[in-house]
Amino acid sequence: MGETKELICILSSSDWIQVSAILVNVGLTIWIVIVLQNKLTNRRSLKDYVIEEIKGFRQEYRIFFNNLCSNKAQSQTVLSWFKLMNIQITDLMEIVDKQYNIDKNTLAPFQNDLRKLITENEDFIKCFKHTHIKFSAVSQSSIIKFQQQNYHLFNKMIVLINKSK
Amino acid sequence: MLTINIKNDFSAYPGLRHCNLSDNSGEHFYHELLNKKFKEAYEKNDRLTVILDGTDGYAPSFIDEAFGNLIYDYSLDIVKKYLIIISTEEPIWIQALEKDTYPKWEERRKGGMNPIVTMEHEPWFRFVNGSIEQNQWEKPRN
Repeated sequence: MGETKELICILSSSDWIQVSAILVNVGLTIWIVIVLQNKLTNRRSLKDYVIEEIKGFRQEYRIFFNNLCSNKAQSQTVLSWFKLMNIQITDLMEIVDKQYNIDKNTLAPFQNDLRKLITENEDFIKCFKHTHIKFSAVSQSSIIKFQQQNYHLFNKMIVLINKSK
Repeated sequence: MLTINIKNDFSAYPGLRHCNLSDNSGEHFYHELLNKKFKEAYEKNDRLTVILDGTDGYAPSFIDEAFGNLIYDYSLDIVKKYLIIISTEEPIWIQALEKDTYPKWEERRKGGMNPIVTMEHEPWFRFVNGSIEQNQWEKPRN
């Protein structure tokens, strides 16, 4: 105890400045480690969550396209499926727009154009009153073309989210 | 305020565009409900609220046919003044109507390109020369 008192008396004003600088640095380091790291972790966690959701949508559409092209899709469930997907995508895109400043209409072709493409398709209309929808080769090729033109949008979103701060 | 809740007042499972394509079509909804209720709203100087929420989902053609016919019979200005659409589940329908259906059917009205009906309907209302007239304006084409 006596030694500490002596040490305090020996310290000059420049030493005090150095001690204060060390204390500030220590405080700053602790703040960075605790607060910033937490923020970064949270940010990363949110990104991971959003990306997983997008991957989930991509998978849902993949299954949907497979069912359409293998004539397994049921006319009664198509409209409700579109509605459900649209609600889920709209919700997620609100977050994506606010958090990462990414256009919330990025997946609009899947939300709007695809629904129009399918529900106004001649084969769909013909089969609407029946259980299963049978798509002709021409219809299937228009569905495949849609996939080719728009599937990259899911990857584009994942890249944009990863790139964003 | 007058209200149509499509799920409760029409069907939880709306169909496609025309009556000859599916049950509960946009054409059917228009002639069964929307045309008459809208006329009532207009005459009472009230607004008609149409609630889209709660159904199993819509085909874009259902929405286009139902509300497009309304534009054709009453004009864009009148529809905008007396109609409120609520679609909290899928706000996209409101955007689609405003961006696509309304201008397209207003053009169609001005150009005199008649709507298509695929079954006989009871005489319905249309705004003609400043007043509402009732007639069987269209008949199914063979």
